[in-house]
Amino acid sequence: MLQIKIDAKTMREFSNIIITLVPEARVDFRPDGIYTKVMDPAHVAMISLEINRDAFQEFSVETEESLGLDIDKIRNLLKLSGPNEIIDTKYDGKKISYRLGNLNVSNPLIDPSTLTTPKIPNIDLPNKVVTDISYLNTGIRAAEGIAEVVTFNVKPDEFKIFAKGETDSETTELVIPKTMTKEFIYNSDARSSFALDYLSKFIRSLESTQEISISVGNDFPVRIEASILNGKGKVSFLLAPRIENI
Amino acid sequence: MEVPWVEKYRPLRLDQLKREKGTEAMKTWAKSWNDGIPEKRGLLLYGPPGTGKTSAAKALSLEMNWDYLEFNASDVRSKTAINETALKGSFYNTISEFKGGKKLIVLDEVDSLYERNIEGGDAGGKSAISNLLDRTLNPVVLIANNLYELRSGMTGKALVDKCEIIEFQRYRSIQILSVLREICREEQIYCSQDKLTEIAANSNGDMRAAINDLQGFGDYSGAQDRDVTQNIYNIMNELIFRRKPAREIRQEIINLGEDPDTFILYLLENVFPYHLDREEFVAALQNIARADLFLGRVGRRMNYSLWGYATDLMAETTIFELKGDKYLKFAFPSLIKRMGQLKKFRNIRDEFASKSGKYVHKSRAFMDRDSLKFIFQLLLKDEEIRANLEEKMRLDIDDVLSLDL
Repeated sequence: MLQIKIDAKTMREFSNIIITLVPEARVDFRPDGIYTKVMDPAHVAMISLEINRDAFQEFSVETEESLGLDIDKIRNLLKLSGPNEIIDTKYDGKKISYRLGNLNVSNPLIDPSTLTTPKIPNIDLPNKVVTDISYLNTGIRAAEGIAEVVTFNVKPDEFKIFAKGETDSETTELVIPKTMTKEFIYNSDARSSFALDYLSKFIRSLESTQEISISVGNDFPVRIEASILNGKGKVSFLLAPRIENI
Repeated sequence: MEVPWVEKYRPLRLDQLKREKGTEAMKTWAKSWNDGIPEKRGLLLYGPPGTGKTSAAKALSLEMNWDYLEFNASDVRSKTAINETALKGSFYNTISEFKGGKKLIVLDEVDSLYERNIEGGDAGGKSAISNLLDRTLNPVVLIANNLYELRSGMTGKALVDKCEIIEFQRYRSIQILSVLREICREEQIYCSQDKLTEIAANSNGDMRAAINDLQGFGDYSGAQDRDVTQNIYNIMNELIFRRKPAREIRQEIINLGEDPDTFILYLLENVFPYHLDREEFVAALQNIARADLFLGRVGRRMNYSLWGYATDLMAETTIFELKGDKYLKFAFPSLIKRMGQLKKFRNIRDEFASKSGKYVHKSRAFMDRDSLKFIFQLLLKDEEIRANLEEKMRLDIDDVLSLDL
């Protein structure tokens, strides 16, 4: 048995983050909150997401449950709701049902063993930049106009996001100097390139985030961490670098 | 539920497959990825079912410490799907546990792409795979049962040319026997020697089938004969060289999964008076002609039970002495080949006929039969008429003039 009340806005943010990688996910419901880890089918990116029980209007989970949820179906339901409406979620051991005002919807569950749950690798990254999400967003959206790949570059006193179009004369570059960051840990020069569509989908899904932490290595995955839902949840995003063509 | 033994005893190392030559070549190819991008970015493993192709790919990824990313027939493998996942993923390192960073992209059962343009189909799959092989920065393995089918068509040929090719032959029954014995020992079960030999022989070189039979043996008594699906060339071989009785060949034709209409074209193409024995040859052709009568009647009456007689007659062709001493390659039906080559011109001709038919108020079939030649001559010789008709019928005049009527 499991009963949760959640407002549509929180549910939307949760499903938007997951859907950047997969349409179905295994979600662990524990007494202290919900946890999920997903990896995209091309094994390029991973997301680990936790939402504390404080983010819910009501949260009663007696025993730990792992449920395979169809995120697409949740999004269909969200289309019918206003942002402040409360969704009453129940799991009776067989199916999951949502109540929204006087509307009742129930969905079958997906067998969680058919969904891959990745092991989040432990990666040591030398550099870390904490800054406002809007800077990152601008840099990425500028790059999206001309390329499919964006490069992150960390130097002793600045963090640079740049992209190159089809010709050398077509470039975008966004520089975030050390002074404009909240935290700036530098250990060595680093430069890695990443797929723009993964980055932009993910950044766009973070509706309630102000500050974002970016850890970068040299030709190594990037880790982006953010706190969501006013500190009641956190998300960590790992993205593999593009292989430099030799 | 008990774990299927085929999974439980799936070999994890390449040397457990007992295919030294093939696995050596696989390792050489895999190691070439350590020094940049090799010339052939793909590896094609082909062979009958149950010969260890998928296991070999899995074992290779384990030995190289690569991530393993498989797409098989249960995934949609249309152009969009391949570009979205396999191709996109091929430019990036793996995120999973970040072992050597590389991932082995495995496209299983590539010879059974369902390339019809319907929802859930694999439209454009082959050309997308070919494109993947040109651009990938990660190693790609293709797995197929039938090399010939995969190689059919221009895209297929290009695809195969971009790969190192390794053949997986059927296991010999002695090899299967030793694996079966091994499993019996591990599972601590007893199975009589005769039974094991029977299972091994019945499997026809298919390790998976043999292990499944062994596991199923506890459930019902006796290994049953498996239906073996042959390819069309094998059947043709048996038929021409009289390797099997007609009754068995007939069963194989039925199991083949090709229409008798197609099979008769293969048969007609490959029946040949190797011995210059005219009487036998004529008798064989008469047999085929009678089979064709039945097939024609199926077409007219839509009575598919007549296929049975056609199949009987085609299988009966085996009784004639057609065998030669020389080895001759079996040919693909020239009718299908030519139809393929002429497809473009047939389309142009059809369009020409229907457009000019509309102009003179006649049917397309009538124009095709009766008037096309004359209009063509007019177009060829009289420039004024040509310009006039081109505009009125909206013809693509260059296409039409390429017809040579």
